[in-house]
Amino acid sequence: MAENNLSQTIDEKVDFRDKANNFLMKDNALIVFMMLACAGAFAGTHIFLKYHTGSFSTTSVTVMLKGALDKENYSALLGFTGGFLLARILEGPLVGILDIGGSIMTGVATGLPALFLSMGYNIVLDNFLLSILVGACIGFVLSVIILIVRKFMPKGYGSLGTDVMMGAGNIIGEWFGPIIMLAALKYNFVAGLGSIIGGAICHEKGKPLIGGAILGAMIFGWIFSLIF
Amino acid sequence: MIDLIIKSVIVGALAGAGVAGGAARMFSAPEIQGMGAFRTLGEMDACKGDPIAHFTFGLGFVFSSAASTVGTGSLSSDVLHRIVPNWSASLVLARDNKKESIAKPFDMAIAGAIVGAVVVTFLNTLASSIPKGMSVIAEKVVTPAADMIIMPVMPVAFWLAGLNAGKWQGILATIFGGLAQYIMGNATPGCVLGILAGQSVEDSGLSSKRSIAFISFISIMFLLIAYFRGLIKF
Repeated sequence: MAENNLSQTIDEKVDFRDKANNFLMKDNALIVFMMLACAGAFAGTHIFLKYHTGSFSTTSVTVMLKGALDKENYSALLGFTGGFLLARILEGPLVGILDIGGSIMTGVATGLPALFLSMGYNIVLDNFLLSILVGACIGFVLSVIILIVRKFMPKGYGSLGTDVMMGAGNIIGEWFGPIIMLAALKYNFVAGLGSIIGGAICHEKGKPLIGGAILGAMIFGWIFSLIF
Repeated sequence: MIDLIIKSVIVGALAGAGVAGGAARMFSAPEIQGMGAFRTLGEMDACKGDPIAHFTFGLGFVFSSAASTVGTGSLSSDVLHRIVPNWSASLVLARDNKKESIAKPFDMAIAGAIVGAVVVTFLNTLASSIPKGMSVIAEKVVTPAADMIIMPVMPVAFWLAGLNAGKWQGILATIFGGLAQYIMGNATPGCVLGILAGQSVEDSGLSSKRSIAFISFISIMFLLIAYFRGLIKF
């Protein structure tokens, strides 16, 4: 009896996971992920303003934000990040992959906070819970814009695009291992030797070279840097 | 300190779940809107569903991100672009060892929440404890290799896929890929669009309503993107 109940709960669990996976595969489920990601990125800027760590933006953009905060002049930053955000929001639905670097990390984590600060709405970023809520709202608005642009896009190419992307992805996969090894050998011989050994071991085990190449280069290079 | 840890866990879990779930959807793009980047897709493809490859690729960037966090307070874009998607994939693969699992958004989102919470909290509190030698190796080996993949390996791979797909796919991949290199900074999205538009021309002819609509839609979007990136002035 107990065993029966157990297998039933396991079945229910698997069933729930399948349902959740299928639901989140729907086009409109983009809203869920955008709200989560934007809430996190926007609240990350609250952490940055308070503790000087934890900004999700690219290093160079974070340095720009710091400079703008010090001078309390946001115009240059707003122009740069705002343009980037809009360009990525238009590009996303066009190609099917939203670049989260320009849109979420630069736009939502730096551009929009700068906009709020320049208008004097500091409270939005001073309060942690409020920053999460505002971030989630931003994610909602952006994902609705993306979904509307997608509605206008001419349809009917089926799965061809996905097939092409997968094909090109496989080509890239074959290049990556050797390129890591070339970079390691260009850096210095010890790191290169580590990547050669790691790559060879991975190939012998029938795994892609990349894992062993990186690990080998890091371990050997690190030991080298300790000795010399 | 305690409030920084609590906030880091919350923020990392939110952003990690969103980004990893969005990354799982990339494998079905352009039919479904994915989130990430073409380079993230390329790098994840490069690890070929091997949990160790995904893990070590992400690990390389933990060291460089730690250096950035200590230096500037920025976690660096690698946390959401590379560490979260690849470590989530590694976690999902380690659990059920099926290559197609990394395309399941719910599983990836759960893994992403765990990875995001751990990585963000670690970087915000303990980044300065990482030995400097490790971050130098990551900067000198993994970063240049990843840059080489983004330019020129990836655009060329998509471009060749277009040229091999047929005459019109090749012509339009060349035109839009070249323009995208200037307008978006990388030819890859343009090559993909060129292939899709070219397929439409091959299927229904250059003067068909669908082909004209597709090509003019891409052209208008390219102009708008160029405007917002400050490349053309009106």
